[in-house]
Parts: sequence; C-alpha cells; structure tokens
Amino acid sequence: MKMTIVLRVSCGIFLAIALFFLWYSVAADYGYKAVSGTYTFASNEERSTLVLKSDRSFQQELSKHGKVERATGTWRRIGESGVAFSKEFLILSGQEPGADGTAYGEFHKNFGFLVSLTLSQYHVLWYGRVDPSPTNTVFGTYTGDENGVSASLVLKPDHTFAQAINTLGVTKQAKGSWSFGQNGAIVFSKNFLKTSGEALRSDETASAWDPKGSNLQVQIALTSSSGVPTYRKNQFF
Amino acid sequence: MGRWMSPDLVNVTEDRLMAPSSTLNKYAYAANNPLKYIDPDGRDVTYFYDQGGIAGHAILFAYNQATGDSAIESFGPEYKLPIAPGVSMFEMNDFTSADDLRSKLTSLTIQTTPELAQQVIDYIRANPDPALWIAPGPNCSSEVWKILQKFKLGQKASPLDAKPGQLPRNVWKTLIFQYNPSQQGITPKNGQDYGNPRFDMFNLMWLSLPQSQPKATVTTTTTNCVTDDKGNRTCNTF
Repeated sequence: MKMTIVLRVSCGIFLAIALFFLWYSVAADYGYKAVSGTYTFASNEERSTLVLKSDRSFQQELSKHGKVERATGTWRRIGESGVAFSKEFLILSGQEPGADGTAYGEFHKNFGFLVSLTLSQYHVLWYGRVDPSPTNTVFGTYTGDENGVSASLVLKPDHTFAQAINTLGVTKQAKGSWSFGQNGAIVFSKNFLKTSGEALRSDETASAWDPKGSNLQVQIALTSSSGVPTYRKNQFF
Repeated sequence: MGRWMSPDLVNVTEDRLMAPSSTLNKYAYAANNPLKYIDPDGRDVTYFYDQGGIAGHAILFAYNQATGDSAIESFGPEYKLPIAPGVSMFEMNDFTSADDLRSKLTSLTIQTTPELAQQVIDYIRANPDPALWIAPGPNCSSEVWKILQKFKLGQKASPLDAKPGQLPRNVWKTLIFQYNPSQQGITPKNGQDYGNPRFDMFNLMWLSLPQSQPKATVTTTTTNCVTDDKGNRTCNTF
C-alpha cells in the first residue's frame, strides 16, 4: 500500500516535470516554424489576413473601405520574438513603421501557446550633439543617425527649432516650436520632420528625452484611439 | 602592423555605404568624425534588454571607443528547453543591422572610467559562459548581473528586492532604480536608452558583432636590408 503511494507520487512528479518541459519547449519557441501560419486582423475599418510561411515569405491581404490590397514579401525574426517585414508590407491604421519604412512587430504567446502579432506603434530617431554645450542644457545643434539620410536639428533657447533632412540630394527644411512636457520630455510641434522628410501627421507625436549624454532620442509615436494593431493566429485550422 | 584593406563582403550594403557613421570601421571614434560629435570620454557599459519571448533576454555590451575594443555578454540556451547546453553570443545572429538592434532592444548606458570599461571587457573575455544553461540560473541575467556586481555597476536597492540575477526584467528594474529613478515604473520602449548614452552606440555595437568583423586582411611588413663590407646582403623583415 505504502509502495503504491510512493510510486504514484513519483509518477505524478515525473509527469509534472515532463509536462513542464513540454509546455516550456512550446512556449519558448519563437522559431520560424513555430510562428508561421495564418493570422487575421479586424477593426472597425479594416480587415486583414496575413500568411507567414516558414520559408520567410508572407502574403497579406488588406481590405479598407471596400478596397482590397494584396502584398507579398519576406519576413524575418529579430531577437527573442521580434519580427521585421520587407517594404511590401501593407501598413495598418495605428501602425508606425520604422524610419526607413520597415514594419516591425512582436510575437506573443498567451498561456504559452496562443500566438498573436502586435505591430509597432513608434520608432526612435537618434540625434547626436555636434556643438559643445557650455551648460547642461538641451539647446544646441544635433545631427541625425539614420542610414542614407543627412539630418540636422537646432534647438534654440527661445523654444523654436530648425530642422533639415537631406535624402538622396533632396533637402527639406522645417521650423517649429518645442516645449517641456511631462517628466521633462521635449515635445515638438507638428512641423517636425520625420526621416522620410514628411511632417508629422495629425495622429503622430514627436518627443524626446532631455539628453543627459550627447544625444537626443526622438520618439515618433502614434496616438491611436483604436489600440495596438494585433494579428491573431488561427491556431486550430 | 596590420590594416583592413578591403571591406567585409558579407556586410557591404547600400545602407552602410551611404551612411558615413555606419562604416565597416569598428574602431571609429565618434562615428569616424571626432570633430563632429561630442564624445569626450568614450568608455561605456550598456545593458541591453530584449523584452520579448518567454522571459526576455539580457545582454551586456562594454566598449572603449578610443581603442575600438569591445566585448558582448549574451548567454543563452542552445535548445528551447528549461535546461540546455549554454551558448555565447545568444540570438546575436538574428540581428542584421544596427537598426535592428535599435528597433528591438531597450538599453541603459552607464558611463564609466576607461580603466573600468576595459576591465569589464577583459573579464568577459577571460570568463567563458557556463556549459549548462538553466532557466532559473545560470542564465543570461545571472551572467550579466554577476559582471555588474563584480564591478560595482549594479547594486540592489534593498535585500527584499527581486533577484536581478533571475530575470532580465529584474536587472532592468534594478538598474533603472539606480541610474534613472525618475523613470521607474514606465514601460521601457525599444530603441530608447534610459541611461547616459553616447551617439552611435548601436552602430558601434553592431560593428562589434562577430558577423560584422572584417574578414579580409592584408598584413603590411617592413623589410630593412643591409649590405656589409664583403658584399653580403642581410634583410630583416618585421
């Protein structure tokens, strides 16, 4: 009788460990095979289907206001669970691609197995200081750090800024204002130019940390009322 | 003396050629333009926090821009199991550019003295990662935290705090409390450095990765020849 209980407890412990190993191997796996499949997205205005294949290609269909667009391209993993799509990716409402137009996202596994894909809603531009600061102040001249783009930004003490973006020989300039927002963050007016040379859209904001070091990190973010755009994987069919 | 004479074939991309600050020279000081960017010291230790996956990932990057020396601590499992053989430079091959690093990682840079940064670099090189990776430790966080503690760069605020060595998130929380307390409680954003960063750090880290190393090298030698009284010619090459 005593032997049977010991045996049962031992079997139970062994089974629990085996199940944990099995669960962990699924939950921690964000490899190409594990996350490939068919994903769907639906909001009030948009419907989209995204098929990720393990050969790193994707097919996407986006319908918006009765208009249907289709795209094919490639995708690749970055880091633990990140993903980057080729430029063909159709941008959803509420999604903010990177400075060069690359769409970034992140895979998630609820309970370790329910896979979803959230699309990035911001990107960060780094501007390096090019003039010595006599005091610990943000006023000064900065230059951008994006591939293929020459960018400069001058923050003036009167809370105005001047910016120039040169892409492939075409220069765009902007003047605007900046102010200190919550937590001492620097908030730029809508005139601020993105790396593409375009001004901020009405639903975008540009803000930066007060640079303790030698650079300004400008976050271009979306103020989406509809939340983070999220694709959900069709798990069981 | 050795010189890089040709670019790394793997990494010659249009983007990199177009971006002066993103060249193949990993030893670039202040993006190869010391007069342009303000970089008075150039020795740092940066904690990189990848928030994705089952528990995230912790990476430590120590670099000395003055000499171009750098080292990366990134320990992880070879297989997706709670216990697996350990590998160094974990997940680094998934990154293909400096922009990848920036878009995916949150960072916190601690500016140090040149001597300390070099000690961290030397320590990472001299101490191989454990042979076995185990989810509760030794893991990426425990190895990073070990280094931060050894060089007194990371200190727990209270003995009651969560163990930083267990999870990347705990290392992050401990460091943000220590170095930037005003940002405690925020959701860290990828691409942002919450410490005291310098310009071009992502490019420098990218160029420090093994796959970014220039592969083609040419060794330049100098030959001195002397002819003695008897007409014998002796040459020394060095």
